[in-house]
Amino acid sequence: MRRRSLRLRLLVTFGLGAFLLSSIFASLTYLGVRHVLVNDQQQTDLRQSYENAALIRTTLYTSPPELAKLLNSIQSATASNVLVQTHHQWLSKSSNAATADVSNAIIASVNAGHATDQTIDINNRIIFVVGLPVPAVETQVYEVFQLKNLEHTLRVLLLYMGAGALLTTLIGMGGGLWVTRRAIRPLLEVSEAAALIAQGELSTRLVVTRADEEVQQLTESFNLMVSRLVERLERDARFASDVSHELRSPLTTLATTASVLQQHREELSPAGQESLNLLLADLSIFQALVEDLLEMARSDAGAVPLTIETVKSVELVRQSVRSAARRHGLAEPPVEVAPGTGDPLVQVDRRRFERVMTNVIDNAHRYANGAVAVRLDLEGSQLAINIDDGGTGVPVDERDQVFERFFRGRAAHDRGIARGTGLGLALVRDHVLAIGGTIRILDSPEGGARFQILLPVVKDGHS
Amino acid sequence: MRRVRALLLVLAGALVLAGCTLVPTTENPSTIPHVGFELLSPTIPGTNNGRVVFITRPIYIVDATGHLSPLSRIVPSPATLDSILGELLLGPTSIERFAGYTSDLPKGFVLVGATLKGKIGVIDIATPLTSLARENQILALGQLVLTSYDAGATAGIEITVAGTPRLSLLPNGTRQLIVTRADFASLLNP
Amino acid sequence: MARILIVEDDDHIRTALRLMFEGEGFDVDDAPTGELGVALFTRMAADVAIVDVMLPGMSGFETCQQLRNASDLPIVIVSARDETVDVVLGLESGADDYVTKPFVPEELLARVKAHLRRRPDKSAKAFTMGDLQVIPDEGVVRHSDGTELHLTSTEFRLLTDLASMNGKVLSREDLLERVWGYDYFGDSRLVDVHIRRLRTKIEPDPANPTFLVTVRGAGYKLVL
Repeated sequence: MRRRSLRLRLLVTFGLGAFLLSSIFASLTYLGVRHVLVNDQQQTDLRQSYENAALIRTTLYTSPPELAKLLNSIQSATASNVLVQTHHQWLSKSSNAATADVSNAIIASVNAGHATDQTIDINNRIIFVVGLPVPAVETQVYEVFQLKNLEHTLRVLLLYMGAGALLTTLIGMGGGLWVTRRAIRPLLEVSEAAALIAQGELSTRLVVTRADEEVQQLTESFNLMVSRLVERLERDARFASDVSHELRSPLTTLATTASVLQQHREELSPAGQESLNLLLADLSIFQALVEDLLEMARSDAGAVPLTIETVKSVELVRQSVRSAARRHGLAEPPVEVAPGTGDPLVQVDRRRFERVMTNVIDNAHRYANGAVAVRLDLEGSQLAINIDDGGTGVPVDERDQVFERFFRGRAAHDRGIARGTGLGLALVRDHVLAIGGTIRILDSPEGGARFQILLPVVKDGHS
Repeated sequence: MRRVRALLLVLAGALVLAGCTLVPTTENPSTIPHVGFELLSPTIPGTNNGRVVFITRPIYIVDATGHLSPLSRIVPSPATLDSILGELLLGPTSIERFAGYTSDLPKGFVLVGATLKGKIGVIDIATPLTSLARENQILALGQLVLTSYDAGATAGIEITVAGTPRLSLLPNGTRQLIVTRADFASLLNP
Repeated sequence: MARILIVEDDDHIRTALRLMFEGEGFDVDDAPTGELGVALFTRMAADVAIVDVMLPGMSGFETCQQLRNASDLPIVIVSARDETVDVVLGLESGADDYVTKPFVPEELLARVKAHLRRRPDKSAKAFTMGDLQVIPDEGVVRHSDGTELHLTSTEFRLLTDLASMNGKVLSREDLLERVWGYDYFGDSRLVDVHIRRLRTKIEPDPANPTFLVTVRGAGYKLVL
């Protein structure tokens, strides 16, 4: 089902409604008025025809030769034509009268003794024919009335009705437009506010100005909902930070006392020393895991805002690689910049970026014989940072899944080396997305995996 | 909802169209139930059972051969000389004219009055017949005599111009004050 | 033998730290509150201090300030939070470095040692900055009227390193390496806050620096 604009639908409905109502009203009015006008005209005409027939009767009785004169005078006085028939022959008629106007049907009816009338259209002239038998003088009188005036009146009336209907329709549509806008505006405001909130402007609220009860309800409910959500988010963030505080102190004690034990290693028995080794090993995993978890929780809750800086990418990458290598005591992979890349500017949160590089290089170390090189290149309007390793590569079907939390790929199962926390790459993806970039896995020239991070380049970077 | 809307549209359209005709016409004539002035009464109201009946009387006009020929006319009864002569003056109908009939009584011929005095019809006219050509004069006169005869002027007619009697020309050339049917019998179509 | 003051309210952590540093040959003064810590310092004058930010009573920041007012000793603050605002606050209060819990004990140890080792580069030349005269081999900065300006060893080192560059720019990462130690995974916020602190001390108008100048996208330089 195609999505229809509510605004359009409302407008169409209003327009249509106005049109329907106004045309029904106009039609009914017109029909009513027409009925009345036609009836009145008919009554008047009939009465006139009776008078004329009576006159004709009298004339035929008193002075028959005056008949023609009488008919003509009637015609000049009233603009209707009169015809007189007797013994099935036309006896006399007024000068403009046409016998063709009187149909045989009327004649037949009148000859049968019935007073008859009919409204006929002859060659686009509408006439009202009245036929009256006057048995006292053995004649039938026919009077033909031109309805031109009536037609004219009705035409004008129809025109005005039509214009009125049109005007009403337009006003209706205008009204529809106004109502639509008034009704739709709160909806648009809500959707705009919702969009802002989704983007992270959590302080957005709808302004309560309207008098309309329903809109006010919507506004208040919406604001309440947002406030609750924000409270919830803040609670979650606080939870993350509360948990972090609680965990940190015991961990510090554990780490420090383990160091002390390490200092006094020589005083321990072999069993004690072996236990200490295991303790230290797992303690470092534990520490790393807690750190990763906490960082994940904070990132989920949006608790840690980003500090975005515009920096030169080449230097940023070099330093991050150096820090990453040093942090874990690994060999530092060389940073190669492809010709033509220049030194574009990127917008990143420095610490997160370093974290990303660290995690990827650490991952390469754990599962892929270490990172061979970090290569920079331009892909369209984006900077590509490729961390290539010399391992066996990542199977195509796992290339999306490796970024999920606690995912153990086939590589991890195969090798028995020290496991990571399971969150490293998940954090990488979160951080990359947070700084507006994307990450994907390809193949490296050395046959291993290429972790490619794409970052948008700031426009006024110089090449 | 859609169907209802469509229906309403059609209804509106129909109404609108119905109104589009101006004055409604009817297929068949209709009878008027009540007629005023007692028009349907067999006798004329206000009179003592007065009625008018139409009878047929001949008028004589000139046919294609130049003879006098009768054509029937309907006149109210009793038919006065005046009314029959009035019919005569109207001349032939268009159909009759198409068939070749004419009247030698000119268009502007004014009949002032016509009365029966005994069996003689006195016809008072405005302009004298002598203004016509000789043959026309005779034919016109013949029309008058023959028509008047059948209207009751069996003893003949007398022409007066503005009240003054005039002599009338006969086919044989003589002039007489009173002319009769027999005088013009020769002009009849055999 | 170096003396270290540890101000930490968590008993276990404090005890563990004491054990660790004693094991490394330090003399350890430890206190559970800021007030006791300051009192201890007044009596014993340690060479370096570790102060936890979260303390009952007087806060870690205030403790730091009081210690800084009394001496130029290196102070490392320890915090359970990594928020920029806490870090900055701590450094502004006079700390030379910060570490977040849970820390790698060896790292803390290394940093403390590095701070103790840091001495002004005696080989550097003396120079003037407006009203101030910087004399590296004596380790002092003097006003023209003879009064001394107190700088921590970190601040001093920062200043002299920048001066030695003859107006060339040093990036934050370079400064971290040179001033705080080579094998250091540090945080550029350290540099930023120290630069700001230095400016308030040496610049006639700290808001519009004329000597310690920021070069956007690159780092800092010293203009003489």
